[in-house]
Amino acid sequence: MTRDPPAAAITAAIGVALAELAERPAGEWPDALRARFPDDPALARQVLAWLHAQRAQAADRDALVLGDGARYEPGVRLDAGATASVWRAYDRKLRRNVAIKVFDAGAPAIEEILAEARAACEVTSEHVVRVFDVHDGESPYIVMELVGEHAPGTGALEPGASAATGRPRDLWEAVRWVRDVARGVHDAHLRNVFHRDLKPHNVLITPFSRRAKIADFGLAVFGTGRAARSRSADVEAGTDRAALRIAGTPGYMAPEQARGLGLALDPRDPADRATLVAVDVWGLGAIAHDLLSGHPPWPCSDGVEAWELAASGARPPPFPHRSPSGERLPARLAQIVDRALAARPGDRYPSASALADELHAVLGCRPTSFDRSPAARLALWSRRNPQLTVTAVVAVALAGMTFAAYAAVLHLEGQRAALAGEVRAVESDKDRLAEQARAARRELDETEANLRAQAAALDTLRGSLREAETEFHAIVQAREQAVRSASLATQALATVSSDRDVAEKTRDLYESFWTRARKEATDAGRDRDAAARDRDAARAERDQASKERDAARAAIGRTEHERDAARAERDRNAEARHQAEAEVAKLLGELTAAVGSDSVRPAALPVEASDPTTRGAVH
Amino acid sequence: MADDQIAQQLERIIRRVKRSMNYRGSYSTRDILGSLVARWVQSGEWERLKQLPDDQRHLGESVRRFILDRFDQLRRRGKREELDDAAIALPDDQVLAEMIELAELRAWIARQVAELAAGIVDARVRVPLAEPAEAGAILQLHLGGKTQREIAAARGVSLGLVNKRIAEGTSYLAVLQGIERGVL
Repeated sequence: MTRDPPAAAITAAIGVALAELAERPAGEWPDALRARFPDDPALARQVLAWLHAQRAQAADRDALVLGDGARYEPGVRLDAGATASVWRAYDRKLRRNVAIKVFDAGAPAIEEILAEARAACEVTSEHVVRVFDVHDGESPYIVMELVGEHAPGTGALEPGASAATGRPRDLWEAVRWVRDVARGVHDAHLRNVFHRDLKPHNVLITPFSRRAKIADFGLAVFGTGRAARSRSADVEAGTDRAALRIAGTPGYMAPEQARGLGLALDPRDPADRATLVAVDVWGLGAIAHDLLSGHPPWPCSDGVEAWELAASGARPPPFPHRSPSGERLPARLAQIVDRALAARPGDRYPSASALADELHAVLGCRPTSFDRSPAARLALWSRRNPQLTVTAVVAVALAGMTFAAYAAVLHLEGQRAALAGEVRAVESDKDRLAEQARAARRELDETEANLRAQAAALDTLRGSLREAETEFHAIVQAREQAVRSASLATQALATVSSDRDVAEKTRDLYESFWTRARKEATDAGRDRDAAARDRDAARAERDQASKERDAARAAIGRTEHERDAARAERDRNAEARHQAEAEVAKLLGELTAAVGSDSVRPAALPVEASDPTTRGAVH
Repeated sequence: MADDQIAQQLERIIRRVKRSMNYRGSYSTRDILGSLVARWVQSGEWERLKQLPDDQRHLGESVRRFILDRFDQLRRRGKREELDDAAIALPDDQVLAEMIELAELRAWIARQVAELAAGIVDARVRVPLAEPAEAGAILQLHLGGKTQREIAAARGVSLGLVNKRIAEGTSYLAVLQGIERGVL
């Protein structure tokens, strides 16, 4: 189901209402909301519920300020549980940092809170968180030591964390934590305080020195000389020894704890005390199991709750061979955890200190109750004393070498005596053999003489053989040379044949070229003769043309001469005409002046027509 | 309904929602019985009894029989010498009815938180939730017992934001529970 986004205006109005009304008393909220949302009473009621819920969230913190005259100034919340939350706070009166466990309204009864505080106060141990004060007013709380340390660099106080949050860096740190917690538990047992809720969450670790302390004695049983007390409403019905009570953390419960323990267990009663001790020893084993394997002994599974697994008599899952960080878990450590987690209380360690001693022995490479064999004890001693071990090993090695050398000397002396006897026998044999040798030498000389003669003959034969071999080698070389020469000649012949073929082809090519060239030369001779004839004809034509040109040039000269004569004639005619025109004009002027009237008007003279020859000459 | 009556009912609802959301690390007898009652509710017996008239339900008898059967099964698996006549004192009908109501409320809260983590917001709640998916995821870790510091480290957000989302988510669940119960 998805909601449509409310209108922006309504959303903004709701936001403003929540912000403004949160600072005002709750009694003013209904009227203020009715005024803000007059047409929407359902929305007003939702905002009212929201405001109440928000106010309830801050109630725990406010309780700190209101309680005990505001002695404690609250800081950050360090942890929160089902019935209480733990806050860091500053004690203004004593000027120190503390941790305050604030109980929710209506959570445990005040008697139970006091019982928890008193149980913790009973124990004085460096491995148990100290309780400073308890407030049993309207808002109850317990003031405790703040498990923290000053940072080496800055000096600022750093709070620690639970072992469930700040896991061990390696398995040896885990073992140290469990050992320290076991010592703290033993200190509590000495004061008849039994925790019954041991788990990593209730083990606080200092941030720098990494020391472990037990916290939260909310489920503790303790006896102070009177009847035993434990925190729970069950206490009120605790007179019935036949009634059972189940309390603890499911994943870390001892089997008998999950099946229910008697309500009125008395720490002073040996049987009840053994039961309570066994439960805490199981809790220490459960812490070790969690820190070393990464999970509690009783894991959650579908359908079956962890406490049911514990109550069913089942065995916890097998202890792993390796830690969560991958380290191999020593078998002797697994044996110790297994014994602490034994199903039967009587099979577990008889006390927390016995378990602490076992873990301390593991840390110090000392024998535990499981290391009974001399070999195992020797191995542990050598790990505990590495220098002495090295020295002892070297000493043993030297002793062994010395013994071996002495034995070798004795053996050599025996060998030397035996050899002396053998030498004597050999010398007697040597004389006998010398005579035999002399006889043999003689035979040998004779044999040598024979051999020398045979050797001479042999040398002669060898000389002949060498000569024959020399000749044979020469023949072989000559034959090889001939073969090589024949091969070379064959190759040369092949080359010559090839060259000849090429030459013949070249000759044929040249002959074809020559034939064609001769034909072309003949054609060229014919062309040359024809050209010579053409040239002669051309020359004749040229000469004829030269003659005609000269005749033409003579004709031109004559014509030019006639032209020049004509031009002179023309010029003379023109001069004569100009003179005639001038005389005519003079006559006309004289005529005009003589008449002097319009009745006497001379007729116009046709000037051009009077001299047609001149006119034609001009053109 | 008068304002003070509404306020009282709201306070009761808010207190119950808040308490149901707290992670229970350490169990008391009552918590053990509560887990068995939750199993009884999951078995479907409660749905069957709801169909019957009040005078025929015999609620206490059914729950007690379921619890005793389970304890008997567990005790019979143990070694014979560890068995004795002692028994867990079972609560009366009124307390059992409260346990049933609480078991139903816890189951309801788990469902609503899962829906929030999936980004699903009930349309009936009109007060806007800033980041429903983030608030749902943080509430799931909160219900699983993680501290606020661990949640901040796991999700890479500030401690203040974790605190704010838990407060918003709780307010949302309280309003929704008020709507379901007819108060709002």
